[in-house]
Amino acid sequence: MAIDVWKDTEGVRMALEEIFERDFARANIDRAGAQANEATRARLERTLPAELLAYGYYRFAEHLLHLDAMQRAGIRIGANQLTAFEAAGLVALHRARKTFEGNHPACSACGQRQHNRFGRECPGCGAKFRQKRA
Amino acid sequence: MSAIELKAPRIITIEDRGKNYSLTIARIPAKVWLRYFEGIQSTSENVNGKRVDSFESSSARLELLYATLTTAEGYALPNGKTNIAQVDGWKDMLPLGHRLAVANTLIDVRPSDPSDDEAIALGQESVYLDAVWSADASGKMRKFTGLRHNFRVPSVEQQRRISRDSTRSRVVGGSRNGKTIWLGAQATLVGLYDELIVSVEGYTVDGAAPDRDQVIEFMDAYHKVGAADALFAPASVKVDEDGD
Repeated sequence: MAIDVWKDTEGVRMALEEIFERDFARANIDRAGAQANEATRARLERTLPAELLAYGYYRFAEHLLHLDAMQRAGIRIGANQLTAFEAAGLVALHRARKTFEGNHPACSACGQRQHNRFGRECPGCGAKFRQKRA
Repeated sequence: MSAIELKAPRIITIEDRGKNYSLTIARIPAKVWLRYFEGIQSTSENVNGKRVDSFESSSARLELLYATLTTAEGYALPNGKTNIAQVDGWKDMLPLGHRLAVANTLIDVRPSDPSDDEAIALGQESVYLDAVWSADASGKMRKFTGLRHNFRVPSVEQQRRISRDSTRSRVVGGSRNGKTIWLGAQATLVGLYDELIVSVEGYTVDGAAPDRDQVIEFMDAYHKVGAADALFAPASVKVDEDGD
């Protein structure tokens, strides 16, 4: 049975989460590998999360990210100009971003996203995090 | 400078083993082109961790040819026949190589660099195509270069529409590692061409330069798709690799 990617909002949300995670991993590799030799960089590249979904999901996700970037830049796109699939996709994008931001909170001092929610110190600026008491 | 006459039938000549054959193609309506685009199979899938893209259009090309081929000359006819139209199923009897060669000629359109030194006009975007069209009076096929399509600058909404429609796909074999079938955005490109076109150069309708309405009515849909696709493609950045 064929799946119409536009209509598979859950698949699109998963693709967006993957894109966020891969971009995050790539940024970390770029930082860590800035001074590394080619072999080390190649090894780091191999640690990038693989694409798990069919390619159609990522292509539609890119379109949604482009739409979202335009909206964030203040370009107004009326609801009557969007298809129902784009609107549902933008909601999925919002959910995927919330999940990503929850998994990788930003350092309140320098803004760098953390590897997870449990770190005690920002690897970017060294700021110490207060741990919540149970 | 000669131009493509949009209302005239196209005569495609083929030279094979020292003999010349000519095949006549009727003007191709947009709906026939859109059927051709729908028949293209463009897919992507992950095979052993690598992306494999495939593109198959030979059956769609042959269907296009069957729908538009009106006559052929140069072939030896069965006894008692004086015209190829008298031969039942004559299209099927043409050599496959000839049929594919003609079909390939119909889609021989590609973007080209401008040949003149004109600066880009503000508020207008120009796209250039090179295309093989029809044999000239001497029976020789030639390529038309620098066919110019002048467009209004697309709006954000038009840009969004092509971005959206070019992402449309279906997946078979499951959402994980299934095969993506790209649905294509050629119909959208034809629509956007009609909305944005201002004028063309290198084409005629009844021997005269066409006005905008004539361009919309008579321009070959494959040329519309080629020009609109080039219009929405990002410009390439000039990079000086050695930094000199």
